[in-house]
Amino acid sequence: MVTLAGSAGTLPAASATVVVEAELAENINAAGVPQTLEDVPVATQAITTGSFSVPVPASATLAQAELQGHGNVNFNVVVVSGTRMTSQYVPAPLTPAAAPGNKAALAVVADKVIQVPAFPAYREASAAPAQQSALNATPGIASGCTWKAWGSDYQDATRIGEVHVANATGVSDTFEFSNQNDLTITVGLSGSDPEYGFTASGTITLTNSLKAGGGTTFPAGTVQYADDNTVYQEYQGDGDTCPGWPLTTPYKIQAVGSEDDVFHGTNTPGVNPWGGCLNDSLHAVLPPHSYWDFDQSKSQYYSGIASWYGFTFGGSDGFTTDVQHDYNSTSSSPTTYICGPKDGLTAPESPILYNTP
Amino acid sequence: MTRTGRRIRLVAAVLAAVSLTACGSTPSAGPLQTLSVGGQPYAAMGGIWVVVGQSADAEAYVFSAVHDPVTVAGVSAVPVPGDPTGRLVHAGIEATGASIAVDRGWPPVPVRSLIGADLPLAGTGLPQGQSGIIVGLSGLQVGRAYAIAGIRIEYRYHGQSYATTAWAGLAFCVVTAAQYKSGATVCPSFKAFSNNVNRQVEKMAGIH
Repeated sequence: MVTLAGSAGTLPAASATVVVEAELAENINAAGVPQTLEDVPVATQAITTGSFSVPVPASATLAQAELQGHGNVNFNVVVVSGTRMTSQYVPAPLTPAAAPGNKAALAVVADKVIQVPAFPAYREASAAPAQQSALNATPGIASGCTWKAWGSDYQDATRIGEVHVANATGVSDTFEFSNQNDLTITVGLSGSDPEYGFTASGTITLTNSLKAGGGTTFPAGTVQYADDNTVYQEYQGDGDTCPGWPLTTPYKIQAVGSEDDVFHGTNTPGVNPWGGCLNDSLHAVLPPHSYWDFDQSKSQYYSGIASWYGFTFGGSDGFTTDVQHDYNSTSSSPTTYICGPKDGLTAPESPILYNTP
Repeated sequence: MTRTGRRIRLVAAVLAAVSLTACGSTPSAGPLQTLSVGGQPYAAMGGIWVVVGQSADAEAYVFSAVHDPVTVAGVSAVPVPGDPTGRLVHAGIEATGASIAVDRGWPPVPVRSLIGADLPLAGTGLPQGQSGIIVGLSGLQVGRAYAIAGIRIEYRYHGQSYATTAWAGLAFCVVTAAQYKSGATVCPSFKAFSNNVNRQVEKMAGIH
């Protein structure tokens, strides 16, 4: 049993119904891209104040969603109040293996309570009274939203991290992308146009059992983003709990997969805020002829990691196992130093690592 | 090398008010815990080539949740099953905030030393919050690779003895000075050896 809790804000009417849906991927094509996403209601709750706390009981739907996501379930939380509604996607790790390497995620696993972020503004949905009626008539089971692939999938370089390597002989950093990682990426939602007007509507998490050994070595002097080819797909929604349904046909674009590769990004991240890592009293030493694998980075959230139909995605990449950064030096390398941003964290705790002579 | 032989004890002067823990049972639940990052035990992995007689250094992190200092009573190497450990010859508490990824020679950064000839500079108490404990190991056999998975720390708090493990994977290859200068290939398959150590440390630490 998990519980989704949060605030629906000021209700437009005297009461509201909160519907929690779990998203199932179906009709997966040869390229691994789901051609249908079905948001299946798994719980409802009637509320008269802005707060809700909806228990989601174990069910076959939830188990299937958890299986597809390797422990991560992407929930769609819909609030219908009078003639208005709002909704957003909330990814949640339900097993420790799916927790994307951060305390908040592991707390979700331990506490089984998912805090739902603030919702977008309420929008008009004239069918809302009928939906409420249906929901009340059949508690927990309403007609959910089914999303069908709209056009072909789209592959785009997506920022997943950054690499800073000292400009020093023989020093390098291998940025690895292996075993299990979690890409959490914004979902874009458009009320009526498949090519325009997308706004952020929650996030989705892709948890993959990835191909082994993906990684790229960045040479001395590198200050660059690390990118991955992420697969995006646009969908058209159809169903009671779809945003704006039935007055408008909604569209959403979201990440659906990854090529599990790593390559040099095109842009340059911010420079080391310390100038040199020796200026950070919490620096770490990397001597010649040595290497250091840093296993458990925190996620760094990036805005503008990719763009499609004018919608700019944001996201973060969490690693649960195996090496992300593997700094190497040769016997002819000078001693270099590793540090984090000016956040008071030591290198082991930092979401970004810098490396300077 | 026996387990007792690898154990490092504080000098008597440091221990005026401290009772050393004997080998054997010490409760593991105490105020000192291995540092966690992202909710999981912190475990980085370092590898280095060292000249025979030189120490290979690694750093493990612990976190004290209590206001009063805890007193370190002993530090020992946690072996990687099947791999030689070498001899633990140095141990010190990070003194200035500067830490090491991996290093050679002692001390790699300023430390409050815990053992031997380097008498303690400012006591052996670990304050509230995060502390780094740096250890130095040596290996006698040229061309051989050694490894540890971390360190076992025995400590006292309010008169009670405890022990905890902090993870710090270290693999090191012992070479001669001439080999080091020439960059000769020694310890063949050292990277594979290190990768195996890494996997084992993650398994031992319970990292998912």
